[in-house]
Amino acid sequence: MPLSGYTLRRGDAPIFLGNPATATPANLSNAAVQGSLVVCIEHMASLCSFASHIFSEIVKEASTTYQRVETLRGRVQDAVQLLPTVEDTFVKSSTEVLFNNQRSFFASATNEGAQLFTKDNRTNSINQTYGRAEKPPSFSRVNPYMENNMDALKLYSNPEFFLEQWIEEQMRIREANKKLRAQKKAAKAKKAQTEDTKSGVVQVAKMVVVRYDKDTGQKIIEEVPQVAAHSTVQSQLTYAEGGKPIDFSHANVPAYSSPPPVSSFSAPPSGSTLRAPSHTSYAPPAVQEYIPPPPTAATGFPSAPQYVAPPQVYTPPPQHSQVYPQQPSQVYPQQAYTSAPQALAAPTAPAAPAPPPPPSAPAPPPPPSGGGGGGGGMGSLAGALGNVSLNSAAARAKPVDERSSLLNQIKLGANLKSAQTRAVADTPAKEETNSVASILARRIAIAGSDSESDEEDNEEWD
Amino acid sequence: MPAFSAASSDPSAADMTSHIQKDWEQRELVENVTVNIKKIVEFLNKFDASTRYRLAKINEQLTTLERQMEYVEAALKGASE
Repeated sequence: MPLSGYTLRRGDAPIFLGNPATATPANLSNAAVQGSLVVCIEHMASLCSFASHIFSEIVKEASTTYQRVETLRGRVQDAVQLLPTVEDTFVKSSTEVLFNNQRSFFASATNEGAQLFTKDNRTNSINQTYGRAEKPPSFSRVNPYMENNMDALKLYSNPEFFLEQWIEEQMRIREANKKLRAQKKAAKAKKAQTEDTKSGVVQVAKMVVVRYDKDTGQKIIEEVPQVAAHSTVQSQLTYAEGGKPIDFSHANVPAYSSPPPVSSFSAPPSGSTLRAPSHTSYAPPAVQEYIPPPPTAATGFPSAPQYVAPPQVYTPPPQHSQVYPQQPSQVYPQQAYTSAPQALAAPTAPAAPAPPPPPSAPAPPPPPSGGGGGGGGMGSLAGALGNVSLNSAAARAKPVDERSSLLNQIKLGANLKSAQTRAVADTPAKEETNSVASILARRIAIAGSDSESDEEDNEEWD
Repeated sequence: MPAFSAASSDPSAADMTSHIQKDWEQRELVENVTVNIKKIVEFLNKFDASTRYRLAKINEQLTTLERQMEYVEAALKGASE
């Protein structure tokens, strides 16, 4: 059926433009249906165009993604090929070489605008809609009357509104993170300070040497970190237990009848010297001051032969005798129990006086010798020495002298030595490297630098 | 019923009735085509949105992978030198 005489406009009903006189109901009905079909066909054409646009854009975007995936796959394959070379390098190279390697230059080639919504990556439909939109009024004429040189157009339409909102949100998050980091840092410092107070570490100021240049007269200030660290370690050792000064010379007193060689005490190992403060404060006094407890019904162990036993009867382990001067019957009851039959089975032991009568209960170990209670202990010691006739009496005379000198020193009180008499600089370099103080000083310095570097790293990457 | 009977008896009225019925059938056909076009448009819009969303997610993951790949390449380059 011909469409002459009809005009069709999109969205409107068909209009009959022919001669009204010749119009019949059948013609009108056919014209309306044909017009509707033409509109449908037009819609289908638009639909085809729309679908074509959609599919072409999707194909374009998918092809871009595919290219990126392919590029990334090639880079991954190249990296995988490099792996054996790098593994060989790591195996063959030493640690120093690896750490001394300078970092290579890095430049990012990532396209940061891939996910941004710009004019270039807008779709056709959005471009068409944008093209149909009306332009904003010319508010630029009002700008001279605005405060703070503000653009009047922003009050009408602000395309940067969401960007500004995002920036404000990011700034708020950054401030919150900053406060959180400051709180963490303060808590960490407070915790470290509490730990230092508990361990009795006394911070000593660094020694500063001031000298003047001979030629120019310029003032030169030099810090002596090693001496400062040494003094810190000394103070730590001195104020380890309850703030009372501790002298370690009584560690030379032998606890058993077979004392270790004196040379081992003059140069003790570093580990034993470190344990000295904690153990000497709880260690019982020397053998001569101890009142042997009698056997009781509760324990049933004959303790008297342990004290009259000759040196060859009970020989404690050498490392225990050096580090822990203590009674075997008190600290190691199993050893005392096993050593008792040996003592009884040794009739050729030197003659010893009869053991004192057993008291009703075992005497508790005497307290560690202090400054005021040393006189009574010396009297009982002298009496015990007078009654005992042992072959190694001459060997025990030396410990007695050292003990008395120790008590005298304690009575005299703590006299600090002058800085010149310490002569720290006169000691050879080899001893400094091996001494406990230098080891502790280095350890403290290393630990301090590690924590500082960790904090710096956290601040950088948080 | 009397009007129907009158229309059935009148040939012009019967012709008019058949024309109206035919017109309704044709309009129904046009309406079906329109509805189907709308369904196709709706499907195309959904397909477009879904595809763009998935492609955007893939692109985002690709961006992350590219950055990680750059780091790995720089580390490998530094280690191999």
